[in-house]
Amino acid sequence: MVEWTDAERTAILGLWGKLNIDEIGPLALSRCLIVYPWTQRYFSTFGNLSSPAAIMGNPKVAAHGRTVMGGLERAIKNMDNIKATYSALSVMHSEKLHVDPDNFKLLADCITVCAAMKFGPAGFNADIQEAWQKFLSVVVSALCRQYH
Amino acid sequence: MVEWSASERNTIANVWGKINVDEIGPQALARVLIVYPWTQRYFGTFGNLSSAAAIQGNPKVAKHGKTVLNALEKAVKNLDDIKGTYFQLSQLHCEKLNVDPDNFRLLADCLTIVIATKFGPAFNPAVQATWQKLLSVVVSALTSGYF
Repeated sequence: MVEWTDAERTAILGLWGKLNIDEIGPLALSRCLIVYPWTQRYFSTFGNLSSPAAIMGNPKVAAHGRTVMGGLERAIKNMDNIKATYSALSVMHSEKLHVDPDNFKLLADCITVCAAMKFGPAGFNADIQEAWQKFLSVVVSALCRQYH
Repeated sequence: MVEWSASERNTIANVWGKINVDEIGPQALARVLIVYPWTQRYFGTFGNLSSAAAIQGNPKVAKHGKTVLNALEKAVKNLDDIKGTYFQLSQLHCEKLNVDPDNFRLLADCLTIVIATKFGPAFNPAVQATWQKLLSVVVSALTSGYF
């Protein structure tokens, strides 16, 4: 089971408290589709993804970005049991959506970059980065868990 | 061979022009040692790495951060032959320093994050895509002498 120090819990919850998920969700997902363009294959029903401007203005991308952050909130509220919290989501991504699990890390990295941009060197210092990346890697691991 | 568009070359020159090597290098290396603590194994002679504060105040870490970022400049100035430029550095990291090449990616990631904290919204998705392309070519070149 994952152990969280008090400092890590404080850092993660503190960062989460300052995030606007309606803002960062769309930014992170559109960044993922732009920086790692092969991820667009999962969103063929989303309409126009033909350029960074199109992706950043696409309402379906924005809506889905918010959905993803809503999913992340469940991990925030259940930090001591992320694996079980994500069991059904993991099965869904594997069996229904057929998402290559490598992509979870790509989106996690984009969320991290967005947080770094927003909070700057003091707000996203090395300790906070360590805690946040640990949190996201636990999330990614839980999402991969039901794949095989 | 890696192809760079005019726009990518511009972006890289622009980003590099705004980077203070003496500031960014130490920050990125310190972050690697803090966020991925197993990397400290390569720096046994660096003295006190016992806490985030110790790492961030450690002069040997700072100096080595500058060394690394100065080496990155070689890639920026030789975009069309990064592999050739880094061949000897690659051999050094493999045969003498015995660095697991996975660690190059970790340092690249921390560099990206430090730049993101510094540039804010100017580190837009197109800039990030180009910057990460540069770093992945660099990481690949550093790994290419391994086998």
